[in-house]
Amino acid sequence: MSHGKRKRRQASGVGPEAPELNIMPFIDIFSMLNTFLLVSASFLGLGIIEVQVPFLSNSPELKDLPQRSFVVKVDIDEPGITLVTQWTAPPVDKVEKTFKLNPVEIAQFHDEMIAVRTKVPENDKVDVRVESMIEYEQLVLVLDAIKSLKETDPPLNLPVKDDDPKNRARGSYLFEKVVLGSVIL
Amino acid sequence: MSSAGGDSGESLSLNLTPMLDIFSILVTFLLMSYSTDPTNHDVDANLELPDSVTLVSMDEVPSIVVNRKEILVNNKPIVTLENGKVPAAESSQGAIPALYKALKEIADTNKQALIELRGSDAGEKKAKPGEITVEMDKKHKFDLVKAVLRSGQQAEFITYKLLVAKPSVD
Repeated sequence: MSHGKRKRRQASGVGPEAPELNIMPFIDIFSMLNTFLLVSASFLGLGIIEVQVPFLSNSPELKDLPQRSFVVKVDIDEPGITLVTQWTAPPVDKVEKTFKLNPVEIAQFHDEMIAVRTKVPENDKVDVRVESMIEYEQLVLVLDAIKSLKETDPPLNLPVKDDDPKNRARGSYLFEKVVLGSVIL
Repeated sequence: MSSAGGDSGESLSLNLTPMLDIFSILVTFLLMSYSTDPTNHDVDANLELPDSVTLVSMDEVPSIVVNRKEILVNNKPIVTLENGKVPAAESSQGAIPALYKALKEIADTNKQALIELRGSDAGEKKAKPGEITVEMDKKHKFDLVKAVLRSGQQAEFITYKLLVAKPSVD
């Protein structure tokens, strides 16, 4: 505190000098905290998208397979995305839709995938085939549209298979199993 | 205002309030964006990850890194790429033999560790196919992705966790 102020306060005759807060320890703590946080902060969040490739197994065939199951296939090539849905037994009800590889139509494709999942909630598997010249970035965009549920999407009330916390964390998946079929073809 | 260096006896007074303001805002921002993810990983300098809206966080450090120049397994260079492609000499039937060999070693090590952990009876049962994390540059073509995944599939890895960049502040 400067002498000038002290003189003025004393001259006013109000009373004893006002207490002064020592903020130096406060600044010390802030400096240390800042340094620690800046060094340990990660400014790029890292996530994962889980995909599978077909695998040949010599384990015995499953006996309780349903007679009629729902199949979802997605083809990604230069013109765009082709979505095919159908049942494995009559009535097949085959539906084919195409979308271009741009953000607007990928968003429409995502909405269509939500409609497909809502129609048959039991099916959580999508078979994806990708053309060789497609960039990895475009593949990830389409995988996002297939797998990830956004915060703005409507709640789907999907069936939960068990109480495994790992599965609960995966509740943000629209389709959990994405198989990249073209890897072995 | 105090005089600087004069012999009037007045001391200099630094106004620390603006500095405290800045520090408070900075600490608040850093604490809010602070990540408590247990896995910390520095992305390879020679690659750019694709953006994604996935909410699932990385849970293990990538084993396969495919940057713009080469393919690495556990930070060990395996194949050098030519214009983003695997050289013909390094490729066989759509797979990469050197990558397959490196991944097979990992798969065998994992299998051995499982046997040691659970006893010898675990080795008799067919081990469950493994999963592996892949970090790849966003501009690579699917041709290269396919070669990497096919090599891994032959080494009994069927689940792949593709590393992506997600929005930093949730």
